[in-house]
Amino acid sequence: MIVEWVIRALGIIAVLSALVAITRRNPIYSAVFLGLNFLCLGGIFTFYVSPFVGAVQIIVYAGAILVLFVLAIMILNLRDEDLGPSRRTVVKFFAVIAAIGVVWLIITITAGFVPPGREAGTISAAQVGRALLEAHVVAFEVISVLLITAVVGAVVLAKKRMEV
Amino acid sequence: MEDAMLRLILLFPLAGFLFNAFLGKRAGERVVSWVGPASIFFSFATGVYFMSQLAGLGEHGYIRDVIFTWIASGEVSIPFSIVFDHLSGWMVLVVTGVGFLIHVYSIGYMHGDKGYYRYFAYLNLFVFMMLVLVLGSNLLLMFLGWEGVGLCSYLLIGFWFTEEERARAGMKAFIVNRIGDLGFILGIATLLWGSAVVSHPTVEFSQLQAVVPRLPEWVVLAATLLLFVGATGKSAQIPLYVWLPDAMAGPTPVSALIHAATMVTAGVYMVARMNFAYSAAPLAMDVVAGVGVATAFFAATMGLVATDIKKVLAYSTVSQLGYMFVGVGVGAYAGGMFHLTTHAFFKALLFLGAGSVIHGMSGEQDIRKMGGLKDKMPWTYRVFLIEGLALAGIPPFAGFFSKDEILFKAFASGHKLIWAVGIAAAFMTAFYTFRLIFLVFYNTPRYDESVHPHESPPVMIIPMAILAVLSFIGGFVLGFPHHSLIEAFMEGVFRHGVEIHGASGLEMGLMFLSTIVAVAGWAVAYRMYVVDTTLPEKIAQRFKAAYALLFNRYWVDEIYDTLFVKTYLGISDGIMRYIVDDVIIEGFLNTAARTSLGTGRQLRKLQTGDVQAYGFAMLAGVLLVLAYIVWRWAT
Amino acid sequence: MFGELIILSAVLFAVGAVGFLTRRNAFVVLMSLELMLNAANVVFVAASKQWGGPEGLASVLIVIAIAAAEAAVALAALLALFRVVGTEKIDEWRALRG
Repeated sequence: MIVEWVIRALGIIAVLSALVAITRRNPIYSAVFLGLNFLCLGGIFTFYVSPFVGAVQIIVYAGAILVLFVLAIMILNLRDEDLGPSRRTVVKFFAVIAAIGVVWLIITITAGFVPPGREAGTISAAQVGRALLEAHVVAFEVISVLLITAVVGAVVLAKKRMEV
Repeated sequence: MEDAMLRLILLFPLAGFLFNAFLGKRAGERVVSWVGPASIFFSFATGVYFMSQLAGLGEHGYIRDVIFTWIASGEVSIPFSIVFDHLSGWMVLVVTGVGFLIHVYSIGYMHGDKGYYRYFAYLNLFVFMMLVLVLGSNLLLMFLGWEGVGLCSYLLIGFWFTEEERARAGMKAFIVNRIGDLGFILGIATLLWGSAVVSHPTVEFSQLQAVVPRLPEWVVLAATLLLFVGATGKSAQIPLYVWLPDAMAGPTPVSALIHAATMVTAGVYMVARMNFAYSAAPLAMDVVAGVGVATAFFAATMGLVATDIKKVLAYSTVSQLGYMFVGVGVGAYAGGMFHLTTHAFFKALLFLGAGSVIHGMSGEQDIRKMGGLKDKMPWTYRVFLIEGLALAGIPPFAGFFSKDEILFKAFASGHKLIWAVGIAAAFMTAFYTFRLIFLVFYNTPRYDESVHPHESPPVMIIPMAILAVLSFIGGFVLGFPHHSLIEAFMEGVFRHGVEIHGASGLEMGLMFLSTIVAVAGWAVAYRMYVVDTTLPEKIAQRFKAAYALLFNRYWVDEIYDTLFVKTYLGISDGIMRYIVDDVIIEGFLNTAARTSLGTGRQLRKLQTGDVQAYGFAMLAGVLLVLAYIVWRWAT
Repeated sequence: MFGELIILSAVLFAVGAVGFLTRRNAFVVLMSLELMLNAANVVFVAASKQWGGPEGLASVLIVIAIAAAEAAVALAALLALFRVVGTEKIDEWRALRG
């Protein structure tokens, strides 16, 4: 019971931090609140089903990706005057309407859906590893190719001054 | 009998080709001079070995080598297999034997040429392709070789391609042959279709033999006539002979090998190979014999007045090929093959002799500018004389026996008109042969003083001497009347040939007559070109129209040019301008281009280049999909 | 619990989508993308628990790997673009306008 309430609390914090993250004018603040969001989600994963995946979520997202963002923002080193006005209100309005529509539709769809109730306790890292390396080994290997491509691509893109 | 060694006959020339083509330039002239002829010699030796094997297998014996399945499509399965029987084996020996001698001769003739290795590569490839043609166990493989030799012929005619005229001659040969090849393909298709209807589709010679008797007569007739169209192209018969005189633009050994001894006889070989089908279509046989004799006659008339030493020989070749077709056309298949063999000897040698003369004269080919070479080039003169005697049909030289065999068979099988025309052509043959010899070797020299004729090196003389011996003895050894070795040898293959027994008195009479005709040809030539050298001029003046007609080769080239080439160019030009340009390009293409351009011009307004606008579109799509799911859920 | 997590996921996705659509700063746009990817992860985790199998969690790992790769390439491209264009305002990158 306690765990469920912890998860609910973390979920609320996650939503709030996400909202804050997308509304900050300075991207550094956005990054900080995004980090908070990632931490909350990592907590949810940990308590709900798998500490392993929760740890990975925090390490990779909060540890790696977010640091990358902050680093990039620092490199550009934007001053306040560069943070011009945001988009027109009408755009925001339609975006919010559409987003609410999406949430409402998803809730409508899933409301009538009764999932099978074979709830497991926790799922161990071993099980996840087995799933990745046995049944989904092709996907796993493709990911390695993707990563090496991304490394090469990132180096090529960032290294040289592009000629246009 | 199966023997996987048989493919060695093909592999030696192929290996020679590959070596010369890819390493020849680096290896240098010396190495190429060994590799080129040696590859053919090994092939020849393999052929001799299998000939001895064949002897132990009886008259229907053969040696087969299935190398791989070439085409397998549905019911049709065509193997890449070669068959060495009495007919193809004979051809192998002729092709590789004469081919080897000409390779050796070429060492001297092509010495110092920039494209030396290229020349030998082509020549090796030619022999390989010719052997595929000869040994192939089915029509399609024969066609592969058929096209392959055509390709080599094209490459070698245009060997000195930097001169436009020579390149054009190669092109002409290729295009004219293409017309014939179309007939050949259609012939193969007819047989494939016919065999599919009566049993299963096949182009294998051995299976066709069983299929042909079950086919309706008109199918066999159509197939044989279509195949013969191919033969008229490759073997330079009316109406497709026009490429051969121009083909003399190639190096002279090439003329000897390809355009006299081997490739041009492919048509004769094809008819002999398909003898079972031709014998089942008497009308086709008559067409073959008729076209043959007409070609023999008309080509001989053109040979009378030609002034280029090689063109005289070219017309002579066309004419002699006509004789061969008369032979196979009247059912004397062995006779046709006999003449093919002796002709390979003496005509190859005539070309080699002509090459020696041209070589010695530093490239001069006009016989009006020669004369008196007898003393300057004694060996060339001697072999040339032997060849001339053989070609003219003077006994006991080879040409006499083989030509006479054909004429006798034609007469005895009731084709008396063909025989008469053939005799007339024989007279002209003797005449133009001696005209050539007298003009080149006798009388006073007519060449410039700057030209210093010299004898050719031994590497050129020795192959000529061997061929000279062959064409001296070849006739009576291989085909002495009634004791014809070649006929007995190929008996198992030609089950459908004409059988003529007895009547030796008639044969003796006809032989006597041919001899007289040949001698008469010599006598007239002697009178005109040795005794009274002003006579030819007078005769030409007297019969101006006839002379012009012959000298311009009946204007056949011009007629073809107007009738086909110009018409074709006109039509294709019209199609290009009025259909392709106006309708397809202007109409369809431009309309399509304008439409897509206009559409794009409208559609590009949707592309704002703003990533977030695209995001909106995507989100709208997501919403639509979700809404659809909800709606489905509700209903 | 399962239903609630789905709602959490939907809300996170919606927030990410709004951020993606309305912000002009390219960094924030990219962060919004990460948010949406995370929303997907929440569903995977919830489903994994509900169905009692590890496949959902394996998918999460794959998504994380892809997100990492995407972030690296996207940021590199962003830096390169910034050098050329001189602004990180995503609505000013309109060279591809038709």
